[in-house]
Amino acid sequence: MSDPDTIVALSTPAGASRRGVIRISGTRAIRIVQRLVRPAAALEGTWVHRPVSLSLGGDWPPVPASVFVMRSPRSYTREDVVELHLHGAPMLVRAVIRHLTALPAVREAEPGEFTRRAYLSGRLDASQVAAVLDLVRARHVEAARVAASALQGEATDQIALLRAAVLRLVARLEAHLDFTDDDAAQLSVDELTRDLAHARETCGRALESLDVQTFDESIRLALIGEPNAGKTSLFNRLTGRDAIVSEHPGTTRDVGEASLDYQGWRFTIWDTAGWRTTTDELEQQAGSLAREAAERADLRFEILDGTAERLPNLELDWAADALVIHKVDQPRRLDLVAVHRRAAGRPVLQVSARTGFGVDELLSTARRLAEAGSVERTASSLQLAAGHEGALRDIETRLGLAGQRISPAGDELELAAFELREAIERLSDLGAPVHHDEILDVLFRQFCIGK
Amino acid sequence: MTATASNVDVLVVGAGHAGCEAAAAAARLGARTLLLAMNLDTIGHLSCNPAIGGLAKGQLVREIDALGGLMGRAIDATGIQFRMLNTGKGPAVQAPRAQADKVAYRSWVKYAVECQPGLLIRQETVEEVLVRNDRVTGVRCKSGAEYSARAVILTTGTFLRGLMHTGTKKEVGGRGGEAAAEGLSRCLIELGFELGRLKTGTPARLDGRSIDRSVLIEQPGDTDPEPFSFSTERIEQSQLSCHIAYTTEETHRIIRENLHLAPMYTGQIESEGPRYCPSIEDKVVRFADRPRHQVFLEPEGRQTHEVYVNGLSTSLPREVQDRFLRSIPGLEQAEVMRYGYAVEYDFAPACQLHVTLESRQHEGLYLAGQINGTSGYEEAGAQGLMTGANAALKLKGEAPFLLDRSQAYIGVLVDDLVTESPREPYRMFTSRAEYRLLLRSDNADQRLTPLAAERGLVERDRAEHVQQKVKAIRQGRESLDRTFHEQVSTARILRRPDMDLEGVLALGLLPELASLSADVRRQIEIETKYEGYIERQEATVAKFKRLESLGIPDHLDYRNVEHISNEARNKLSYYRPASLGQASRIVGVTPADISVLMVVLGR
Repeated sequence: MSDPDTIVALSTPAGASRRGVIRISGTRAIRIVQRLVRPAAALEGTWVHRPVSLSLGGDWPPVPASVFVMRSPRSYTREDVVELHLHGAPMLVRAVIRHLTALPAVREAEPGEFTRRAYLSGRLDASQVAAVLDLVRARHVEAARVAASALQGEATDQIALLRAAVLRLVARLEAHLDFTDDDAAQLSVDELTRDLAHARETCGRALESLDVQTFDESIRLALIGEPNAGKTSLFNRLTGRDAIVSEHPGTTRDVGEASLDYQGWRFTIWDTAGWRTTTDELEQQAGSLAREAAERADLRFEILDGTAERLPNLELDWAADALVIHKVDQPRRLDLVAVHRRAAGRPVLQVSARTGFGVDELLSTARRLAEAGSVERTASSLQLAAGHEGALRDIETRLGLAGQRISPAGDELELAAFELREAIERLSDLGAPVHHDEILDVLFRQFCIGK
Repeated sequence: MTATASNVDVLVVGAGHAGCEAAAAAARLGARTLLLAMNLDTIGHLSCNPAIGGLAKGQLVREIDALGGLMGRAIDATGIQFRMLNTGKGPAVQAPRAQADKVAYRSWVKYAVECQPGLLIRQETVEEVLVRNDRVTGVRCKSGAEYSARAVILTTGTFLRGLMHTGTKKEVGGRGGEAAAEGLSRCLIELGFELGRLKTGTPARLDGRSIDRSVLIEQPGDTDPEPFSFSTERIEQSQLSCHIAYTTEETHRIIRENLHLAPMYTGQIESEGPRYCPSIEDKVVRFADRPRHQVFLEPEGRQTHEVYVNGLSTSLPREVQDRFLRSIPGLEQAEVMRYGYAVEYDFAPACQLHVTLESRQHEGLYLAGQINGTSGYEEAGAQGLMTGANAALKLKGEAPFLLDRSQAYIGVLVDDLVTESPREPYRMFTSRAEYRLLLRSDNADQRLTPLAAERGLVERDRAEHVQQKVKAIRQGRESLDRTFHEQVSTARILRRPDMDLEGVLALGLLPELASLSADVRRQIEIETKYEGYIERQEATVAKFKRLESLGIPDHLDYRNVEHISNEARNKLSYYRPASLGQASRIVGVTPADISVLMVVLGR
């Protein structure tokens, strides 16, 4: 039995350059892309590959893109498949996906669904498909891991709060529906309205926190190194900021953060606090923050004080992506052979924050490393963020629609519940599923109903 | 086709609501059926509250009726107070409820099963289910008699190792004044069934003459009572009122001071009670801030003074029951006729069953009703009907009769039972139904009667009647679409808030609708007003059906399925879902796992 839906997914391979590839498969693939593409005639023919512009409406200027058309059965899924290749700016990719999935019978693909369709249509055999499925599982695990790191902190908290708010609202609403006025005399529509308002606010906050946090698609570069290696001076030079610099080691007591744009790439630079054993409690705390930040970063450059004689040992669990000999404007005392031995083929750079020497090379090295695929985070977190935003927007819409059905008369509450059921389904896409039994649990804990 | 006790296709053990529906359904399908009960005087007995229906349950009764079952007709004939609930809310959450005359109800049911051709009834206490080579062969009774049968349906209610508690006093029995079924539990364990234990409770019954109704709130029945059954023209009989009383602070004080005597609090009962039907002890403890709780005084029949005290389920000692009852205004002089008690009983988690409620392990053995961990007459009746039908169909070599979650509450019930492990007696709620807007009590006949007729469960003329109704509804809706008033279609006018079909008909433009029956007019109104929502819900049903139609062979060994998570592997091995849809509803099975299964199954 074939699935009539047309499916859409962001399929940028991990570690690729900053391009978003949106893949669409199904009977309506060509028709729905046609609505978006100028000139529309670009999609005519088989195996088309043409530059086009996308018209998204609203405030969006025409977006340059390439379009690839693979007509059934000569495609991966043997259905009509269209690929849109465009700049991977998260806002843009999300806008396009949202635009497409808003159409009837079009939805986001489930994990591994393209491969499943390929298999079902006879394109792939079982052994080929097994390999892909392993990848699907791995991606699922990866997505969970990314969710944990990308959504650490505020966004996850907000989603937990949203889940709780929706659960509470639904429980109250279902209490209205599943019990008669005889049983549930203590229920009032006012409280329902209050719960709904609360859920909507929470949803709004979750969306905000998502914008702030997860959509930061810049390359996160952590500067690590011994106290007084000059990380902060270098940080200031890179970002044009004035953080406190002193001759006294260990001045940077927090993780400094600033962004810069370089050749079309956005970098977030983290200046981390002193990496040394210390008895000073405050500094110890900063040290562990630094390690945590370094672990979350995409790239880690170890800064070495070129004027020091000794090569420091930071006792890292991982290898830095590049070694940077700093203060090269002053006489070098560090043994270059020892540095290269430690680098073991990884880049060794020479910079001076004071003169600016080597700064350009540092950034181009970072860019090259990112491009070469050492930054694996980008694609999956972009996908994740797009999915999250889609889900939250849906929940926002459903809450709004539910609100229209909650009136003092209470004669349309089951329609409100219908909208909320869809909101609940979207919560599972946010990794916060609600099981029906939990609704009953909240309901019976809160309200004394039942004879 | 007459059954003789030695020539049996389907043998049903127990004659409660599950057993009677099972036996009647099997016999309707032509199976030679034997119904065995411990006591023929309690066939169709309402063991707990004397009422049928209620929210979600009323929908179940209508569905049972649409499938040719007994319950709807029984309550229509013997009800003493009828009320349509939630009339202030939308049609999807409205449901009928009625107080029954307990004795009349069970007489009606007993007579109905007696009159069913092909059905034989005998008083026997079954002690053992006989099985050979994983295939059921019959039963052995306490009397020593053995009956062979090609299929056996167990509907044991609360009788499996039933234990009743009143205060610290324990008494073996399945129901006040009746013995428990001891042998059968042991037999089920020997057959390899995993058994669990559940608890439920019942309140005291009072002598109505000792109640001062002048201080209570009267709750009369509806002036224009709506029947349960689609085949009942109208409710003719006169109605009795129920009355509402309230507990007081004094009631709560008495209960609190005696909590140490309540078996649920002393640890004497360890099994879980239902959250939705808390004992008064529970209510007083958990909702300590509430100054009073409602009590419904429900007459148990016309020919009795006995009154059921709904809302005061309790297992406190008798003297405490007397004291707290008498602290309630209106009950100061109350005389108890029967005391409340809690009952513990064995059940068999239904994940051991196929979706037809047939045992996975022993072919031909079916379980229905409270033995599957449910609560309620309606839930029991629904399962009974489905097992009776499926046992008979299987013996005829026909495909099973299955209903899914988008077709019926019965589908929701069975699916929930086989994919979840209950921690309390399972009760139906409308919120359990994803497709609530479609599964209304008012359209059960349209949803189910044609399906039932196809399989021979209901007579052809009933199905034809439904077909005519569907046609009249469709024509009526077309008229509304075609007829315009000031350039607006009458269908659009009807969709306006606060507008109803009467209002539209008052425009005088649709004479063809005015002559239709009230029932058809109501369907036209509901379907038109909620068209948008119904369409959206139907779209989600189409999606649901896709996964649902992808069956998983029962013998699939999940240990050999690579690429799924360990949690999914364990859960799938335990629940053994019948379809990918069912698999996707198991907590812990992810969309990625479903993708893998689809490929493994070559779908």
